[in-house]
Amino acid sequence: MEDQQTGTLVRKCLAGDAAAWEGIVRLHQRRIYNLCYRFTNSADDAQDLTQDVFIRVYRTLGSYDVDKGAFTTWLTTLTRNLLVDHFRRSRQDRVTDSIDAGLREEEDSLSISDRLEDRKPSPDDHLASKETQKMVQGALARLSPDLREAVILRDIQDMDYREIATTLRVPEGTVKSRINRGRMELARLLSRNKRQVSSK
Amino acid sequence: MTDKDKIGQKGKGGKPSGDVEIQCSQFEALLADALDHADVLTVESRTAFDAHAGSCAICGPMLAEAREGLRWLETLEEVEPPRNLVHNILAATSLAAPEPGVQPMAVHSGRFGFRAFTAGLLRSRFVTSFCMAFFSLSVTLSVAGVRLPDLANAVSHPGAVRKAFLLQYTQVESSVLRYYENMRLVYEVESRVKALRKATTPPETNDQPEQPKKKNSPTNPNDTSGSPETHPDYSKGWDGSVIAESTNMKHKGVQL
Repeated sequence: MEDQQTGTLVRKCLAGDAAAWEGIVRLHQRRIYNLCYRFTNSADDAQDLTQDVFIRVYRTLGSYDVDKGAFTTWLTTLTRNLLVDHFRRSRQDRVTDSIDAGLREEEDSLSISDRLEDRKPSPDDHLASKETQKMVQGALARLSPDLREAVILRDIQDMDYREIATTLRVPEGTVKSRINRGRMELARLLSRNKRQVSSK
Repeated sequence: MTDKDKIGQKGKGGKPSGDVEIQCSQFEALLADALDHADVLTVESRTAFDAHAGSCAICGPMLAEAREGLRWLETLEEVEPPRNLVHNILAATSLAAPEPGVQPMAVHSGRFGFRAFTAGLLRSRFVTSFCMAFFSLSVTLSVAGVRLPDLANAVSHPGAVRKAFLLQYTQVESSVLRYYENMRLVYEVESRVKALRKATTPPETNDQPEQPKKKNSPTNPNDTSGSPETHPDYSKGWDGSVIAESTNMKHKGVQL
């Protein structure tokens, strides 16, 4: 439905309808802003990147083929490329845990039986908590970029595997694997964080 | 050989079925679908998946962690974008130039390009400049006697431009000539009136009393009061009584 609406707007926009461009911006700005915010963990960066995304879209919309694929996927791919560029530029300032290092550390610190017995309170208890959201966002920002983008596109942007595979230019199997690993890593980071808080 | 591999050898491989245990690799492949699209899995696949999760020491916790991570992610609510975001984007894109090698949207229609063009022109500094230029032009035209309807007619009928110019020139020329003719008439009348007044006025006589000449009396150059200079006698009081008198008779030149 949204794709059809966007397709119509894109055609009108390419035909010279200025109001259609505003329609495209209004329709997608929230999703793109959220994507940027979840990836960068910064409202300012998200705003700047969202603007950059739409400037890029404005400049290259003439090269978009309406009949080739969904506009949303095209837009997400473009956003993802800009996010990756942004991540590379600011890589030195970031401290990102790799999934392998996390796994090794976790395996060293906890045995399987410990992990099986580790029963944490349900996340449902914290649904409405802003503090919880901040904590989850913080843990999300600590995921490696590959896992983070896969998890964000699937669980926050609600894209299907095929769209994510197109966006990330990887096979669907890899997408599923990254999603699984991202979710697990996030759960580990949050449980570790929770243990640190409770031990203080 | 790891536990994971051992468990994997229990299955026969291929697609999971209800009576065959699945391998860990198969479990992992089904994990995302099991969490995201539970209805995608067949009953047999689901049974095998659940059975493996309950029996495998690796995959069971993996499923629990993935499920928990998903639930954490679901707690994240949509972030509200800044209110001015749309405005900023539209303002930024209205001034954005197309990338080289890519056909810009403006090419497809003059209307979209015109909007971008006008959006650039409508920036405050340009607006101020245009207003000033328009004001100056309108003042100049009004001083020169040019009216906007005349200009519109001239634009619509180019042949009338020369005619309008000649008409304007003739009008200005006649005004100037009329002004100088009037000035000449005024000067002529004025000179006639002067001559007539000179002719009617009687000649002046020299019997007017002479003004008395001022005396060339020596005056004190420092005196600017204008009153006649006096020589006050400080040896006498106001009533004429002698206050001081010189006893030396040699000073006869001094009159008391």
